[in-house]
Amino acid sequence: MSSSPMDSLRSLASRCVSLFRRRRLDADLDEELLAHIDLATAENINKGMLLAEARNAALRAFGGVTQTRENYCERRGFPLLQHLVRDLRFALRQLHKSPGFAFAAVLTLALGIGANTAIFSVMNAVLLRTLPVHDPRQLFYLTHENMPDKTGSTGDSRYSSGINIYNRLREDQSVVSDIIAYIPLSLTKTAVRFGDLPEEARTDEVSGNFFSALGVPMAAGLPFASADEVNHSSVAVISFSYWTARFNRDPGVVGKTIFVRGVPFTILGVAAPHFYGVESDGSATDLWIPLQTRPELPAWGIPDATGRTIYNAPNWWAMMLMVRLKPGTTAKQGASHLSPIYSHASYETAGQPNPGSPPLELQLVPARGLGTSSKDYDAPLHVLMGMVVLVLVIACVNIVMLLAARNSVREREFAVRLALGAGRGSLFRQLLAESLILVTAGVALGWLFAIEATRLLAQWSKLEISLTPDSAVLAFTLLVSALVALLLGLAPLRTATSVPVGLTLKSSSSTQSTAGRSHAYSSRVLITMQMALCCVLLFASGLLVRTLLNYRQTDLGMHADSVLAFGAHPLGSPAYSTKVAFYRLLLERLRSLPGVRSATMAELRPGTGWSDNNNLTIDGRVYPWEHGKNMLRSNSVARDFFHTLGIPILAGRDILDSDTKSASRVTVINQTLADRYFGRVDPIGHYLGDAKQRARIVGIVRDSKYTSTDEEKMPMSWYSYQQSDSISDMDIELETTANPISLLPAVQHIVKEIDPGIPLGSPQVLSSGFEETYLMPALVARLALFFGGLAALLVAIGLYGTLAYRVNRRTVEIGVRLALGAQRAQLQWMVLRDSLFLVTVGIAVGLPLAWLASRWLASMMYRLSVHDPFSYAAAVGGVTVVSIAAAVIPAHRAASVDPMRALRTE
Amino acid sequence: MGENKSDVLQGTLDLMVLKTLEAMGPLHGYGVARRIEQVSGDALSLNQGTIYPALLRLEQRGWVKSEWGTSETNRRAKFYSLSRIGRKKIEEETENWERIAATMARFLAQAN
Repeated sequence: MSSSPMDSLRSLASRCVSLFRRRRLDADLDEELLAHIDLATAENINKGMLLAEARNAALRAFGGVTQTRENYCERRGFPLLQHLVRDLRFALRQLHKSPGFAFAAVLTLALGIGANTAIFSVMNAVLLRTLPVHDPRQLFYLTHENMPDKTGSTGDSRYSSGINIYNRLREDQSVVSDIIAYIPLSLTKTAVRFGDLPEEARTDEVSGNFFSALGVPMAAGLPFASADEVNHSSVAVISFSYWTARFNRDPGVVGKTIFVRGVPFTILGVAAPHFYGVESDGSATDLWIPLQTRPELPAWGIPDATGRTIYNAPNWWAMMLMVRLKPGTTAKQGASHLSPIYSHASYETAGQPNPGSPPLELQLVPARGLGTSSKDYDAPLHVLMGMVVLVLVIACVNIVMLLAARNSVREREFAVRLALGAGRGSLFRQLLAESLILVTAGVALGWLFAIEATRLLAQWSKLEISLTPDSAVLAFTLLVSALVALLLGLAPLRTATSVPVGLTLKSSSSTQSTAGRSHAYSSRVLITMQMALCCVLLFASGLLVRTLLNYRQTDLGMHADSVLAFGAHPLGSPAYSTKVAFYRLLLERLRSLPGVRSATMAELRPGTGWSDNNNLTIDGRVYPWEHGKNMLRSNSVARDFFHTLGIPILAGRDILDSDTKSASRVTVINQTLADRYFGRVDPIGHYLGDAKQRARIVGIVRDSKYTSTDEEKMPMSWYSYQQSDSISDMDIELETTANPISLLPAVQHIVKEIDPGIPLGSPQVLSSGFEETYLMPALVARLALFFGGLAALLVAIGLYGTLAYRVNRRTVEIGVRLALGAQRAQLQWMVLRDSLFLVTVGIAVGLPLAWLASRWLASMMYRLSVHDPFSYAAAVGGVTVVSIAAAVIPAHRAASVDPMRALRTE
Repeated sequence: MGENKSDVLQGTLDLMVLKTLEAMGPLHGYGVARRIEQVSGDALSLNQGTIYPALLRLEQRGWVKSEWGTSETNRRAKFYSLSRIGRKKIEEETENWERIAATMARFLAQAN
């Protein structure tokens, strides 16, 4: 009988309605069928039958009542959907019966998926993700190797360029559609004020095409125009996250005034969400202004008495440049076209290079991940990835073993169900439903875990770029889990249906079929493999933790723990004398503060990574640069610097207040400089620097750390800040008697009294700055420890399961042995020996693997050999402890078998 | 019961039910089943139960409607009757069936 589309539509509607009225419709059907039987019975009685006979005849004529009802119900709703619901319910009931199994499986999956997603997401952000701008593939950072002679730079010298390069590159637009320039307004953060409260924000001055060329839309207001660069307009664009954090996304801030280092700027717009600027080190920019010439807003916040700006000092390379290549132009074509222009523009102002100087090499670095900083994260992230994969393998093996063990126990259940007429299809559907539930729960929990783990990773690694679990990663994880669900669903069905039903039913639980024996063997192989992988993980975490301990135990050469450091940078561009007066007053007040033992300051705060690097010149003799071999670091400091930081003075004196501009220039040098370049000669009285900057050596101090914890020993010198041409922005250091941080409110009060417009710059205990220099190794070590522990736990669970299963299967054998006079200690030893055998094989396989893996860890070691015997010992000890711990309960159970009961159950 | 056979039966059963309702007016399920048995002269062995899925199918398509009523023996029962769509469909389906029957007959004749 043909039915039209309309008919189908009406059927569908009626089926849907019936889904919600099932109970009512069931009752109706029952009554209708009863009525049918009643009517038929009544007619049969009329024909002369007895009641019982009449009823039987009626039922016979009807056919199967139950079958009819089932047919009817299938027609009524959506049978597939209803089957699915039924299967899921049944699966839930089954899992509820073994909560331990369900819990272990879900948790294992969640940890595996969560850790994997988090690490992948961070890796993606750091190494692969492009800037959230229009067509990021055509965007490149201009970097170079080997700066020309007679040029100097601020910032990462590889990224720095001069103004002449910027101008010349803009003249030739054959391969490049845009040149973008940006310069930070300070080494760290810049003082800004909106309303009364002074604070700090990361600020960049940028070219007028910054937002239009990058293709970053505005969330509110307008972007800069080219004219803003030409006129050095007083307008600012703020980032979306700064807008959110500081202004609570108030659209009213557009048009308001914000003071940058005391200079008023009008907020012109708010950049789109997820745009954190273009800094290649992962730090987020809060505020952008057009390129400036004002003396109050020098590039990098470095004041200069000579009136130097980026515009009039082409040999001062302080700008960072990006290019957008025209569509179709490759990086290689771009570099080969731009390279001659770049070199020509450099030599135009710096003069031709000296013969023998290494040539300037231009490179185009894709604006992807963290630019060249990605290299710093490359090795650690790959090592973490490797560890996650190993943990994941161990976890998956555990799940497979758990399932296999569970299914071998359920062989009888399957056999009974098959014997009772269950279809293989329905068995399969139910198994699939079970693994679907496990995997779904695992993925859901794993996703929550990933969100939290990603957040923690971002926090620990101090990356300011947005780090959220990646949806592409999630999709991948989901795909894999779906496959796993399917496989896990299929696997037990094969054993269940391949073993003859009769055989399974006939065998008792203690004399299992051959499937049980081969399961036992393969699980022992899997356990051994897990042990080997666990061995590798414990070895790697041993190395990484020991590296972290080495960082922690590094002698900084000063008592950084009891020193409070903070920036205090006067606004505007005060004259030399005003600035000296400001700092003298500030230090005076701070010295009188209770709890302050002594006070000093430095242009470059130790442990922040910044240093002033120049050619070494002793008594007029210039040492060749030789790739930095003869580099001299320096810093400008105030009186009591060494005393305050606790750096012992070996000879001569500290910097004094009397080392003023009118006095002759003095310098203090470190031990390394004295040893390497003076030998047995006493350096005191000799001179550092060229004729213009000549300074007499007045003191020698013991070596200490300057920019980071893991730096090598190198020549270092300190000058009196008053003897510079212009006074830099200084960071104050206070030696305190109590917890340095507790002094902060009092310090803040003093600074506010002197100038209410100055924010306290990044206050911290000096040692925490040094700690931040090994943030990545610390993060990796913590994670490695976590992964190592997780692996050990998983292996212990798996091993425990296997041993317990074996003891269970051997209950009868154990009973017989006991009955024949075996000692209980012997039985305990039997189980323990089993476990120790597995671990011995595991270690035998694991140690060579660990030795192979150490290759990848070499670059991350600090003062530690990758063949550290302690780490090998820790790995061996760790897995041995795991194997003994996992054997304790099964061994105890084997020893406490009651021989009579064991024999009776057979 | 194989599926192919029941499909053919289903189609014919649907038309039988519709024709019965057209001839008899509102009728409960048992009445429809008995009437079909009588008309077919017991040549058709019908499980009376199969009438119900057929009635449901017709009702879902909107060709038949149902309401609760009281039988001749004062038993509460569900009465089925033709809907407006159902009346129109009978003509279509009858023509359709006759065409198939005629075609079948021609084939059978040819085989002889």
